Amino acid sequence: MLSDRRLAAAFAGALLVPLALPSSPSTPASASPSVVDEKAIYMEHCAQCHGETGDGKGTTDLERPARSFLDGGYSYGNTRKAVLRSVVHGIPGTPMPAFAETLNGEQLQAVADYVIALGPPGTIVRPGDSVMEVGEQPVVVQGMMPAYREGGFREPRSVVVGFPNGTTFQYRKQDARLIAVRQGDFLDRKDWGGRGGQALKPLGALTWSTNDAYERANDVVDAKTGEALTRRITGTRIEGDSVWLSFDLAGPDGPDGSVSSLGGGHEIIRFVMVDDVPVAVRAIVAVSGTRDVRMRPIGSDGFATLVGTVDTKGTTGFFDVRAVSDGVFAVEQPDLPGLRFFVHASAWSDRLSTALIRSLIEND
Amino acid sequence: MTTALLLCCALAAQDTTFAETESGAHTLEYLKTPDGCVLEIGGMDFLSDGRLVVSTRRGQVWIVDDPLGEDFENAKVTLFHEGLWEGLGLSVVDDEIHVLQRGELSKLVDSNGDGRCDVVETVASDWGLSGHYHEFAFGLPRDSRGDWWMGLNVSFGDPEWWHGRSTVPYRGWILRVSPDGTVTPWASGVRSPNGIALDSKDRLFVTDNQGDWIASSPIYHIVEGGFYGHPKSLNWTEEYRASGKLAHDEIPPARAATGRTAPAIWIPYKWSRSTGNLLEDRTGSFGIPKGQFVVAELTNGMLLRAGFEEVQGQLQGWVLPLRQEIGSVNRVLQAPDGTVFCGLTNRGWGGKPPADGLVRVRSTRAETMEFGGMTLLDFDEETETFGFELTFSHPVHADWSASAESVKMISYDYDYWWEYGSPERHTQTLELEAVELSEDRKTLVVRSFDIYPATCVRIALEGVTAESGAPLLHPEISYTINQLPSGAPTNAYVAKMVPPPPSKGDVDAGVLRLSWGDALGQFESTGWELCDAALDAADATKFATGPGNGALVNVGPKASDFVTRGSFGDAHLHAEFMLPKGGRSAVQVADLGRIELTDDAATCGSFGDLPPSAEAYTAAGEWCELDVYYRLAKDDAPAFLDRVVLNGTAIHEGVEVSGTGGARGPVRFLGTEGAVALRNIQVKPLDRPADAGGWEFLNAAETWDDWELMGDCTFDLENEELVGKGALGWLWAPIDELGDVTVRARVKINANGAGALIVRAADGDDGVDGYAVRVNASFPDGALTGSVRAGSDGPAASVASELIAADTWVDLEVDVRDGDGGTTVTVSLNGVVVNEMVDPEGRSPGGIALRCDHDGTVFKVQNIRLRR
Repeated sequence: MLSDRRLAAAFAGALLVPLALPSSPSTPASASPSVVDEKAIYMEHCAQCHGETGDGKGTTDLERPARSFLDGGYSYGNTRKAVLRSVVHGIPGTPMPAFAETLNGEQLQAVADYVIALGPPGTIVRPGDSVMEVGEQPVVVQGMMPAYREGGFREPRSVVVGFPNGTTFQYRKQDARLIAVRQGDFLDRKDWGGRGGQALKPLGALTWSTNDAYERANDVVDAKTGEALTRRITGTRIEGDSVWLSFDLAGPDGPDGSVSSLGGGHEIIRFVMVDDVPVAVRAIVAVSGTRDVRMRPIGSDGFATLVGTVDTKGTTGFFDVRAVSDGVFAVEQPDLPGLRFFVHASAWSDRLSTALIRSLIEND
Repeated sequence: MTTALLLCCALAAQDTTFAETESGAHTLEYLKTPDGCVLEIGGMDFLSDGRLVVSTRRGQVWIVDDPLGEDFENAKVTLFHEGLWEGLGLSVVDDEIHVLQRGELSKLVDSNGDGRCDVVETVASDWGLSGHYHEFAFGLPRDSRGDWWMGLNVSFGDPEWWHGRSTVPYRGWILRVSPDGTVTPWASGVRSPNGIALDSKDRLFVTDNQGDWIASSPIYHIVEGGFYGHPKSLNWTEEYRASGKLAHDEIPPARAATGRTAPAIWIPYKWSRSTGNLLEDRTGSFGIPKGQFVVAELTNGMLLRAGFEEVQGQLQGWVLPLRQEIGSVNRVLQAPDGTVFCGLTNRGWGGKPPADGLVRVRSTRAETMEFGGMTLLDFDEETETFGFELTFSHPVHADWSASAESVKMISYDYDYWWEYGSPERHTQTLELEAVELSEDRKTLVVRSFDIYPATCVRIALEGVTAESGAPLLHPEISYTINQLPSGAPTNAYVAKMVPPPPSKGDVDAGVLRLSWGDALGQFESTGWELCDAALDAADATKFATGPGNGALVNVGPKASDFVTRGSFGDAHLHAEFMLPKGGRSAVQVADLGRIELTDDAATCGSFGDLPPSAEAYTAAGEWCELDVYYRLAKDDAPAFLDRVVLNGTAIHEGVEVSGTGGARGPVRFLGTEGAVALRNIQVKPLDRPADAGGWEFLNAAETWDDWELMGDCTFDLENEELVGKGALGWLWAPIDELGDVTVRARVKINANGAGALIVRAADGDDGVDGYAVRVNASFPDGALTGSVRAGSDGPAASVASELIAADTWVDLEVDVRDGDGGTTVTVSLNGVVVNEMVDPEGRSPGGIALRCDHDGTVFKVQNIRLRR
């Protein structure tokens, strides 16, 4: 790949923005008026161990004293669901029995709420508003993303980049691959509830996701052998309106299972304006000192059609434009097979070409 | 400032004022946070200018200005960064902020100086994340060499939600992270290592939370290569990786017997249920003696105090409460002036309110009447006892005298098992042989004959006050005795291995139901029949039998013994038996000798010369339940009858059986000395055969795109588990050219389902050919789980017994091997060979496939491993 940070910084990209679809509002489950006497249930089933006031001093002789509810704090955590779980399933290894068979659903929830009410106020954590928004500058987030398609996998090591214009890029950290692009609101940090660890909830609509053709065009290979190299995201940088994702490069496993480090590069995401519509351009470029690596050739085996050229009128020469996947074009100079730009646009146009040229020249 | 401080001290010296409450000894100040700032604190450290940096479970990093200033409650709090995936550890190195996220250790840089981080660099990330919600990463102290230390929580799952699992590398390990990012697995066997700390000597301490295999909340002293007790982490040791074995949910690993590293301190359950991190007081300005430790506690919302000493090369020590009513303290950090900052959080974990926030705790410098510490004393020749020395911060009031009433001392230990925590076991009051208060009334020595290693001791004093009348603020202290100061070091642990409790999650897991379905198929016998049996009304010394399937009875004239075809190692045998009047039988497991079954309550259950410890036999003509838990001899350890239970009453416990060879063997019921009826014979293997290395893990999560589906079933990958749903169809694994091979997998079939694991799989006329090993709980073709068939028209060997209950995980092993007489296919279930078939023609090498047989099937498969 081309070892020129300056050149790489020149490009910004085009995403012809589809309108985000409003998501249908969820209907809250209808609650029927309660006819349950939770105190009576508590007195009948709980008080003999936990005490009539919930102080843990019931009349039953136990190996381990029953919990006092007056202080708050529950075995499975301070959430309504967690307390309900104790009531429904009991607590293994303790005398706390399961009431799933004894009480009905409404009674179970009622007695759980009664127990919570015995404790000090504020014991139950209510997660704050966990929706993350993008302000004036791009935002970079780490976390687990849900599968982007049916039958796919959750991605526990995701880097998600949100731009002020509502475009979100989801990367897989362990191979530095772009997985999905979305448009709309940013993310709901679902891991701010419960014990944490849940997947983030993307709030935008999926506008693009990866496929085989794109993956091939996105490969970085050993220039001599043509073998694909592994990439990992090793850092992220917010620089003005653009976001830089740094990656390292490693060769295939040696006989001793080792990988050889071959340097690294950056993937730089920027936007150029085409008829007032922001279009995403992602430049992939090596850091200086990285040798003998290049992007996988895409023109020769015919899987990506040449759809146009970008003539920068001698400033930086001719660029070929190839459609590599629905909505993504690869732009590169034939004699610079290391540098590649991916432009996210629904169709190639002269205006797009002009905007790209302007961007190249302005930033060169 | 200096003058004022000196004056203050001088005043204190002149007129000693005593704090008689905790709040008089330590003040609490709570930081007020701006709107939108919820400090669920997971990590804390100082910048060089004194500002305090905190990371939170929300993946945010906040900076608190002037945390030691006068108006702490209104200290300025600024957001430095957000968007991380948790931050349960933080370390400032040369003013650069490092945060431990779930998946990586990151350096956060503010490159343009605007006060906000804009660059996040990955320092280290070489550990696994399966995506399970409980895979926390805890940290992040840094030692004098510049290495960071961190710990990885196990994930949870089968069979109970709180059972630890380690499905990706180093879950349940303590790791070292070098400054260049190299990750070195350091010690294993932890469960939820929330608190990690280094002391001034670079000793590494880790706290854990009680749960499966963890009896109460321990403080470990971490040593390289140490194994601290939770088995699942062992999956990533060289030994387990090479053997293809996985640590079992309910069976202790071999290493647990003598290869555990004991916790330095077990914190009593009543004081800690969720422990945070700890720190060594390096200032002497926190109202406790310098060098002692302050421990964070969430559930009870307090600080504890602890001290360690080395005894026979092992660390052990004492612990007691220090300051309560703070809130859910997850992290503690000490400032150079002695101030301790407490970072709170309890979301989802439970604990005393407040549930989040930052608290400044300072000593009021008032005197308090407290224990100074506790030391284990060596053997005293005169009294022939070991003892403890307890020191006090001030002389004890002259009116107090030590006696059996004022000094209460108990000892206890714990169970090491897969249950959630352990009650205190073998609790006993220790009789005091000697108790003596020193002349200066500041040291109390207590001695007892009953001080043993591998126990915990708690001492509670009553009525102790200082001369001023100030009460002993915390009159109870606990000490963990791993070793006594002299004598032979013990191999025993405070948490002792006990027979596993009955499984609650999946009662049939691991069980082979030998007499279900084809009741005779799993036994070698002659003269035995499946029939109904009852006492003969005319002659109670005989059975009257009739058609039915209620009993296995030796009705034939030349009946033999009733012997299992399978051979077992360590196991739990369950059987029910009925004897006629004067009847007599026996059961022998492997080579461990006979347990006599007689129609005589005084002798029924005798083992050799050992009569039953209780009379639990009922009467002739009544069914009796027998449970035998046993271990075979191995290496230097003798065989054990761990427990024999007759009709629910333990009649033998912990019987050592010497002189046995240790070979696996069948279960043999005596059938030659008169009539006996048997039913419901089950064996649950409690070990796995040892084997050599060379196993490959077929990691579906990594290669999922290369698996191929054929036919009308579906297969999904859910949490590292392949889930197939019928109708007829196949899933091909991306592997080929398997000749001689052993394949292992954990499989489960639903009550309406049938499927198969196919080895040497190849395209056939009607689908996939190969050696298909059946996993069948439903299809009425007489080929139940363990049956094998070669292709569609090759030889077959069926298992007609319902060895495995539906909806129950079973460890399946298929060995395929070419030999002179053809290809031999051997099938093991739960480590026991149950079927063998020879295919004289043999089949070409092939791959591995999974099959669903028909609609309604749910076929689950985990952990496919193979050895070529």
